[in-house]
Amino acid sequence: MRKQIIVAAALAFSSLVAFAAPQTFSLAGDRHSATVESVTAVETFTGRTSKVTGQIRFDPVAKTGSGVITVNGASLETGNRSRDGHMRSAQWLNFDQFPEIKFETVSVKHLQGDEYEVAGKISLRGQTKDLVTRATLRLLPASEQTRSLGFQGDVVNLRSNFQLKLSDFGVQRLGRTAQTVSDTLNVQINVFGSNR
Amino acid sequence: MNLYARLAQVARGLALLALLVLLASWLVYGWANANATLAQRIEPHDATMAQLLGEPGVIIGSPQRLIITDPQAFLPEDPTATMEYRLVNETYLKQNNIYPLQLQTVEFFRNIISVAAVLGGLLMLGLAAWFSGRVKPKLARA
Repeated sequence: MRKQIIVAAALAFSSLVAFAAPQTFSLAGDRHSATVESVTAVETFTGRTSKVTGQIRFDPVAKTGSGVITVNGASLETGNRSRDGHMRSAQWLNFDQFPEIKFETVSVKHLQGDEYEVAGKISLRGQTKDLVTRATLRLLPASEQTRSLGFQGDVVNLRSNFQLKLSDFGVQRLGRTAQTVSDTLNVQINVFGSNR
Repeated sequence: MNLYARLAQVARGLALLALLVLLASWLVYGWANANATLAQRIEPHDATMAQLLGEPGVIIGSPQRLIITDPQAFLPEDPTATMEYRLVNETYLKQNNIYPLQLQTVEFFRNIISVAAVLGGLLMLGLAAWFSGRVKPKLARA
């Protein structure tokens, strides 16, 4: 009995030690989801891709971290090829010239539970702007479940919803477009990182 | 019947047609509105992922009023959930090449058709009156 208690205590201690230092989680696999939503007079459409790369550095004890997340904007699909082409063109999000949407953290502040306030810099259409948003980061320790899903090691699931003002990034809504297409782009990020 | 009388008749016919188009656009919108559901598109997780994350799937965009006539496109309703919208299976939509029509799309075209029908109808009524005015003096002389 005493031996079992010692083993259990050792395991608990080792798991604490394992999480006591900042760890680096690389985004891997194809379970990511990045969605952009645009409101127009005709319909509200979404563009979606699973092509997201990056790294998240997370300290579960200090509840802080940093990271870089890159969305392959050129791979966003809206369900309409003509619209996809227009979205990639210089008239709109210009993924033909700048294929990525990149976010890099500057500071992370823990709010409560798994909620964080993240400040950083976001790049779109070759222009970089400051962005402050809320994010949820869940640490999912390695288990049979995570392994069966193809993850190696511990897993983090990061989610964030935020809005970008298109005119801040040089998108010009000329003529009728100014009345029929919103200047706001709603972005949803849901990514998974693994520390092995 | 002289030319102006005929033109007046045609213009009145077109005005009537514009009224019918106006009524039809509102009837179609009424049907769409009655069949639209506030729905949230969601890509369901597989069972293991759903259990791990404690959620049915990945949310895609925001809830919209969608016209979906295929009941299989909806995920079963959770009686304990307090959501004001129904969940629509994005995977099912893709597999069946369903691109759900949004109520706002129907509304957009209804508005355009309504404006065109009202303006067109008024123009035709005006033309009908003008043509009729040109007919009367001729009849009086006869």
